[in-house]
Amino acid sequence: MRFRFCGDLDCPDWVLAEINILSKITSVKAKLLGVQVLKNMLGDSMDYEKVHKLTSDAKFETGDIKASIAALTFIMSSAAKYDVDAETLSNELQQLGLPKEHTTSLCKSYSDAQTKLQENFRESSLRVSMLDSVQWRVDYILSSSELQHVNEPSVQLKLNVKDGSSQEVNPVAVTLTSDKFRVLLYELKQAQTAMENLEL
Amino acid sequence: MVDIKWEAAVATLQKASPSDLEAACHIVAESICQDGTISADKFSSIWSIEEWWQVREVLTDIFKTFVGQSVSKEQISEQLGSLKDEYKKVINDAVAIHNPSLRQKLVQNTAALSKTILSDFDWKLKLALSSDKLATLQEPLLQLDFNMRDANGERKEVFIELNKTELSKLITSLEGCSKAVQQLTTS
Repeated sequence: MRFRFCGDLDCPDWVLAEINILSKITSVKAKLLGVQVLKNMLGDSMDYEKVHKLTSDAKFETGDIKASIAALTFIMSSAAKYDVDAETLSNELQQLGLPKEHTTSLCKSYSDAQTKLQENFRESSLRVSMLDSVQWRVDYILSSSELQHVNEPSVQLKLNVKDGSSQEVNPVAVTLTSDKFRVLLYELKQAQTAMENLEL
Repeated sequence: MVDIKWEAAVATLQKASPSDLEAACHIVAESICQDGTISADKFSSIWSIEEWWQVREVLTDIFKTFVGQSVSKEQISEQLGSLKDEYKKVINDAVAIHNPSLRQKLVQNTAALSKTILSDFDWKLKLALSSDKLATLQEPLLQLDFNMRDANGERKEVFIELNKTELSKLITSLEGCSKAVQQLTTS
């Protein structure tokens, strides 16, 4: 059976198993668990004390707690990844055996957080490198051993480039003649116009 | 400038006719501007290969010194010492014709007296369609390739990826720089 929240693929077996277990706790507890999981995905740390309290009634062992958190994380992040709306997600989870009360409350929290989640994922998507900051300096060259009367400006450019994987910032420092600098700025503006004209 | 090396070259230079010397001057001047190499074939009937190297070295030296120090026509004639008048005229004219481009080349050489210079750059606009985190990413990314040359002559390439925000940050910063450059060129 294909599910939209799994990217039009089958739902993984382990998620199915976990849905079974989640059905056994009350819907209120499920919702609160979902809220904690969402908090974790959005960057705040999870409150493990609360989670422990929620699951202790249902006699969850540590392994079960980890599994439930993993399942909820998968469900919500996968749904955000494939841009699934809360209603569809609710229907699909019910098809998989999660009771209606559980899905309603979970999907409500999901729809509140959906946009933020997607933004978060967009920013953390793979980037080869990114520009951290840029510094420049304009010098005026009076004279040189090559040419006695120069009187031309020259540009020193320092681009701080952050590596995509290691996150370390490496400076790239170059000198340019004013001509080349003019061409660079013109080309960058052309590129910007082309980027803006992409109708997305 | 009238030194022994030059004096020795006078005889070699006068081996050719003035029009041949003119052709040689133009070729040497263009090769300075374009960093190109010249083959000796054209002048093989006039000069031997060693003589051609000597001619080329002397002419390069002349052009660079006269343009580099903005020497006037009269001073050029004076500095060319014992060379015959019609040859002096040929060299004088060649310097005048190629002066702007030679000067530009020397400015570039001046700028290149630096640790790293930007010799060339390319850009391409890409669209990131999808990633493992988000199925429909649709993020436009600009890739900037900088070809740099450092003081040893070694080439280095750097690739930078910029998204929309980073690109506009870069352009804003560079526009400030451009204003400063314009103020210096007009004043």
